[in-house]
Amino acid sequence: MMAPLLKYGVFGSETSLVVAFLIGLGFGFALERAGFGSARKLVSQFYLNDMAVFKVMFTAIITAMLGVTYLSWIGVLNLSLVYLVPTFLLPQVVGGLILGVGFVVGGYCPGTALAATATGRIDGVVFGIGLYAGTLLFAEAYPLLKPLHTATPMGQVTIPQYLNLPYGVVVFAVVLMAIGGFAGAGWVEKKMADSCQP
Amino acid sequence: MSDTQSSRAPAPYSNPYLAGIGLGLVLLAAFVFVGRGLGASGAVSAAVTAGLHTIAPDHAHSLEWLSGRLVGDQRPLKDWLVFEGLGVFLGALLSGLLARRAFVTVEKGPRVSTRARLAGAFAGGGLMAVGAALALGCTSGQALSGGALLNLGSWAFMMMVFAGAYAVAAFMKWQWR
Amino acid sequence: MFQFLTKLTLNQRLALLAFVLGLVALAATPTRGSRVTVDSRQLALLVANGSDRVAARTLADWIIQGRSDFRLVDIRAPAAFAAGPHIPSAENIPVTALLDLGLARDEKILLVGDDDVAVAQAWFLLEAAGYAGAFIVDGGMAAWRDQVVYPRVDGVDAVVRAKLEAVSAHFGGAPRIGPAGGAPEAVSAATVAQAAPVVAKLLSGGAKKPAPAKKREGC
Repeated sequence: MMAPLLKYGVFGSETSLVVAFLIGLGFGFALERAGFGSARKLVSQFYLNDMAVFKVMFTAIITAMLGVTYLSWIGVLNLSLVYLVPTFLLPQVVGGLILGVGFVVGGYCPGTALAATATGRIDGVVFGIGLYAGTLLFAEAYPLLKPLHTATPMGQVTIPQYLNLPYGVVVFAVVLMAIGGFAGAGWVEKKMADSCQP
Repeated sequence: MSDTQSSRAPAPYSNPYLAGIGLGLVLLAAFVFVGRGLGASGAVSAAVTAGLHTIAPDHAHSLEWLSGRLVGDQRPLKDWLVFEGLGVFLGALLSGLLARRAFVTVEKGPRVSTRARLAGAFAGGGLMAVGAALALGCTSGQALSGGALLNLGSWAFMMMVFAGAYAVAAFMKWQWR
Repeated sequence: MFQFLTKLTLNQRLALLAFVLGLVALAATPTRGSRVTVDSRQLALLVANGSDRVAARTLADWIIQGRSDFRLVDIRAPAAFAAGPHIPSAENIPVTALLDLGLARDEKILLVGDDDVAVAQAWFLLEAAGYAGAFIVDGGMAAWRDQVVYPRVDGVDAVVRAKLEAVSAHFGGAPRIGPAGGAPEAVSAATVAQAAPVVAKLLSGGAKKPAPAKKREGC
């Protein structure tokens, strides 16, 4: 059996919409379980009280990363058929900064805003409206933004490719960094909690 | 706290690592089944494209960034991300109901007005949309999915998100007072 | 050792698991899909069957009918493709780029070129990589030229001849008498009149499917 299953014709594009729904179901469930349907919890990351955002995100990343590595190592997953968003370094750096600011101003990101809306958070709904407005604004202003948006194209490139390191080495390094990060996060949380005690 | 009170209180959040593993497995499923990652900002642009196309089709076609989605007999709403978004909504609702965390409210600090917080939410959403459009993704699409695939641009993006957020956090504390 | 493990908290166990998995992953060599496994018996049957071959004239009919359920790939070098005539709707894709195209595995891919061996090798490459819809246009560009654009019409009955003339006219050619390279015969007005209903019949037949929109990917 070869994966990605859709690309190997195991099911058609109509069925893939059902798959999309089911995956979304899992996604939304996991997000809310982690408490990401709450802006308060999300922004607590950036006030250093609660490092859940960092922990959840990076645990998810290394889980999926290890899964992908092992599955493609045994030949079940054809990694070249998994879509890799092309790298445009400058707009992604700038976009990341803007997105980070938006995250802390609004208290959500698109996925968590949807989760928040589902659980009744009105600020999540308003955030979503802001998302649409911002998207429309971007579309209207595109002629001005196009030079930035298409700057520094680097094609589809991974970190192992860029640093010319074996894939497994980078995977191991990322796992180490994550574990270190988690330990650090726990330490920071404890420090903040201690300093809050009267 | 009486027994009945504590049983109606919202359940505590899950261990973040366990939630993260769950999220990671969902992401892996997306890779294995469909060969793409999760993504949320794309659903928004698909919806904007569809909405604009309904109200003002000529204008929609004239916008370069959106017109690419209107090629041929493509119907933007019949997009993978939209069905995924539907699932996210229902999945979160389910989890919220199970954990007694689903109730209509505005998340904000006790001493700030609802209007101010909602203004903040709106502004944040607008900024985030621009950032996600520039970066070709948001935290789910770029950071999570691209991160797991060791995509160079995704990791750069992710670091910048944290940088930007931490830089501005102090100025946004007022929403949580 | 087990005593040590039981003393750990859940989070510490998870961290240990992650560390071990990461360590093992050091040796990983992820497949980027360039290794293929070939079912040799199945492939042998396909070859013996001859079912993966499409006659040039069948292809011509499909093009006239406006069928869009296949992709026509011309594997000649770009210089040759640009210099000489090519089949309408053909895409010039060299063999090395074939596998990077993101072709769907159930898509019909018709291969044509001026080197029959190269076309057959490209067919094998696609079949081995799992593209079950690969087909060879029998005879390649030479057959296209000699059977479709400049078909030989001596000794052929009137109905067949009318159709051949109609098809060749559609592609800007003309029928000929005698071996390839001979002078094309002038098409008489009567023949053209006879050809009209034949072409019309060809055009009305066959389902006209709209070209499937390319699925966009990414966030």
